[in-house]
Amino acid sequence: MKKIEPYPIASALFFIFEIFYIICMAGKFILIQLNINGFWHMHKLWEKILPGFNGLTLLSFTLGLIEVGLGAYIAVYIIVPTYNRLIRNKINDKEITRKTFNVRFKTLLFTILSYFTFLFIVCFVYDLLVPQYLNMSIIWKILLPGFSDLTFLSFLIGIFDIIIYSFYSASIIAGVLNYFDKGQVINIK
Amino acid sequence: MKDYNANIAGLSLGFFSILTSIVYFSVNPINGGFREFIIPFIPIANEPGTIKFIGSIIIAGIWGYFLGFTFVYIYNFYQRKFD
Repeated sequence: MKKIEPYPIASALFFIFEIFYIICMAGKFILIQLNINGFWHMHKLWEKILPGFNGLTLLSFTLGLIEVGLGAYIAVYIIVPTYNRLIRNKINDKEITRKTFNVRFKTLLFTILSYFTFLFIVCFVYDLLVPQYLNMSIIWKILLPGFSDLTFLSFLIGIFDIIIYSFYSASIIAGVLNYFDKGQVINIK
Repeated sequence: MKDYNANIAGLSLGFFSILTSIVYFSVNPINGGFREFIIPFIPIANEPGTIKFIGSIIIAGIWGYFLGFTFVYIYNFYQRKFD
């Protein structure tokens, strides 16, 4: 078992959230300019979770950028120290392992892909059985562009989106962790 | 080799979920009471009362545990496979 150093994880999450946020906002802005509506809902997520964020203005965008970055660091700096504290009695491995980008990327890619595909399928099947106000796909409709209802075509679009997200997240996490591996030991044992 | 403990990862994320839900449920009535996204995951979140409030926080913790545990469990599986 290993302890985890929070800073590299926080940095990876910081980049993932910031880039995702910029893509969400830029995508919406471009689609508005092109008069295309009803396809891109990802900006709505930020309206619900970011205090003070209320739309496509420069002030809101900047505020959101700061809050998303802070949120990434705060989340990791709560979760990782909790993990390290709970695991402190179980650490017995003294070796330092450094992984190549390929190994780390492949592991992360398959993990993220399997994880979100599993959750997506569970939510999709669950939603087919319950009343509409209990539909968990409300969150997927915002996160996955093109996923709009409980049809097979929508399901395939959702899986395609998850594959794209998995490549994106795995590349950033593997890249950031490998960058920190060069300069410092990221797994303190 | 199993690098990370799925059970403890679940507990850590569960703890984080509890903290987040306490903040969310405390602030939510002030900013308009919007809970559309929470109801499917915590069906009792919209009902008043201290017991329901505590119940909602416990359910949020269980969700956190489930998500954290599942992620690390899958990660360990692929790490054993690829390392």
